[in-house]
Amino acid sequence: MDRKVAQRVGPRHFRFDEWSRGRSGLHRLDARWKLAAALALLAASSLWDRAWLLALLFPLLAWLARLPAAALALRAALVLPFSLVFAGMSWLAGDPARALLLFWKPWVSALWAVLLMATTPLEEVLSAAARFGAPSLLLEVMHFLWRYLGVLVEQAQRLRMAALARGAERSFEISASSAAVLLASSFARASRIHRAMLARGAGGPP
Amino acid sequence: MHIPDGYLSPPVLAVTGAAGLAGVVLASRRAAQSLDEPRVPLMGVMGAFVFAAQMINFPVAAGASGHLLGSALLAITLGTAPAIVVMTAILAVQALLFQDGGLLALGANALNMAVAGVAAAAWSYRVLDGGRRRRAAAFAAGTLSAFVAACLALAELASSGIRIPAPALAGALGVFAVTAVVEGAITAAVVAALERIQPSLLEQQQTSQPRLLAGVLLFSLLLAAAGFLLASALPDGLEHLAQRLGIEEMERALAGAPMPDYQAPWFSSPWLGKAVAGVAGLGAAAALCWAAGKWIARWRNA
Repeated sequence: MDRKVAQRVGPRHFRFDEWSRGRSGLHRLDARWKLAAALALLAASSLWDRAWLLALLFPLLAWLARLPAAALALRAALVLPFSLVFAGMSWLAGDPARALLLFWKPWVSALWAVLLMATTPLEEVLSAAARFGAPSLLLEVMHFLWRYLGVLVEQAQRLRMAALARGAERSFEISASSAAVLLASSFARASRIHRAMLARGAGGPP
Repeated sequence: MHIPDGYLSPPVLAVTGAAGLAGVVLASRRAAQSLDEPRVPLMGVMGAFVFAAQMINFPVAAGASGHLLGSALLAITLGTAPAIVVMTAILAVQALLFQDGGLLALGANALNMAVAGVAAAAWSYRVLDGGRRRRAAAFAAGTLSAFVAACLALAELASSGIRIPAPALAGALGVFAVTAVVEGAITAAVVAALERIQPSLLEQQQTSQPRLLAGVLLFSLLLAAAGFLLASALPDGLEHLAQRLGIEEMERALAGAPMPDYQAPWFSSPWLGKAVAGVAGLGAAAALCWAAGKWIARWRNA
C-alpha cells in the first residue's frame, strides 16, 4: 500500500503533511530516536545560555532530510511575535542580556520541534510517545483530533459562508449559534464515526 | 496564553511539569475508567471542534473580537476528566504542529489551561448549579477558567525571572480581565444556543466531586500566588538569586547604605508598591500577548 496516500490524514494544504512524507535517511529513522533527540536538543536549548550554537546544526540536519531549511526556520519563527513582546520588555527594564536570550531561545527551541514534525508523520510520533509511556487515551484523542481537524475547520468555514449568504451581520448571537450548531454536529459526527468503526470490527471480536 | 520553550527556568519547568503531568495522567486514567467506548472518537472530534470554533469570531465591542478558548465548554459538555484529556491533546497538537506553546513547556501549559482551567470551570459550574441556572453557571465557568489559566501562566513567567517594566499601563490589567469575561460570555452564549437546539447535550454532565475540583483549584491559586510572591521577592528568578545578592551588596557599598537599620519587613510599602506594579506590568504583558495571539491567529487562518 502506498504510504504516501494511505497516511495523508491531516488537513489539506498543510506543510508538515508534505514535509513529513519524505524518504531521506532522517525520515526513515526510528521515530523514538528522533523524539528522544528532539527532547534532548530542547532541554539543551532551554538550559544552555549559548544554545544558539546548536542552531548551526539545523541547516545540516535539514540538508540531511532534504528539506528546505529556510522554510522550516520561517515556520519556527511563528514564536517570534510572542517572544519579541517579552524581549522588548526585558530590554526596556534594562536587561538587554536577558532580552537577547528571550528572543532567540524560543526560536531555537521551535526549530527542533519543527524538524521533528517535518521528518516524522504525527502517527509515528504518537506511537513513539506511546512506547515512552504517554497515556494511550491522550494519544488516541490526539490522533482523532488530527484526523478530523481539517474536516471541522472546513465545516466551520461553510457555516460562516452560509450565514453570510443569508445576510448575517457581525453579531455575537449569530456567532454563538454557529458554534452551537458546530458543537451539536460534532457530537452527531462522533457517534457516526463510532458506528462506522464498529461496523469495521473496531474493538475486536466480542 | 501558550508559553513557548526557553522561557521557564528549570525549577519552574520541573514543578509545573510534574504537576501538569500528574494531573493529566490522573485525568486520563479516570476518563478511561468511566469511559464507554464511543467517548474516544467523541473526545477527538471535540478537540477538533475547539480548533474549528476558534475560527469563529465573536464581535465584542468597537471592532474588537474574541474567540472561544474552550476549557469551560468542554468541561460542561464532556465532564471534567475527559475535558482535561481533550484540552491537553489540543495543547499537544498546537505545540507540535502549530508552534503555539513549547514541547517542554507542555506540562506547564497543560497545568494552566487543561488541569487548572478545566477544574476551575467544572467547579464553578457545579457549585452554581449548572443543572438549573445554566447560563449564569456557564458564564462563571468560562470567566474563572480563563482567569485562573492566565494567572498561573503569568506567575510562571514572573517566577522564571521574566522582567516586566514597572511603569505599566493601568488599563492593561483590565484587558486581561476582559479576556476572561469574554470567554465567559462566549461560553454562556453557546450554552444558551445549545439549550435551544439540542438541550440533551447539556444533560449528560458526569458527576464530579466538587471537593476534588476545589482542591485542584485551590492548589493552582496557591501556586500562582507563590509564583507572584517569589517573583516580587526575587525579580530575576531563582537562578539569578546569587548574582542579584552580589549586585545588591555592591550597590549598598557604593550608595553608602542610606538606611543601615532598615530591615525591610515583608509588607513594607515599597515592597507592596513593587508587587502591585509587577502585577500591573504582568497585566500589560497579558494584553500584549493576547493581541499578538489574535494577530497570529488571523495570519494563520488567512
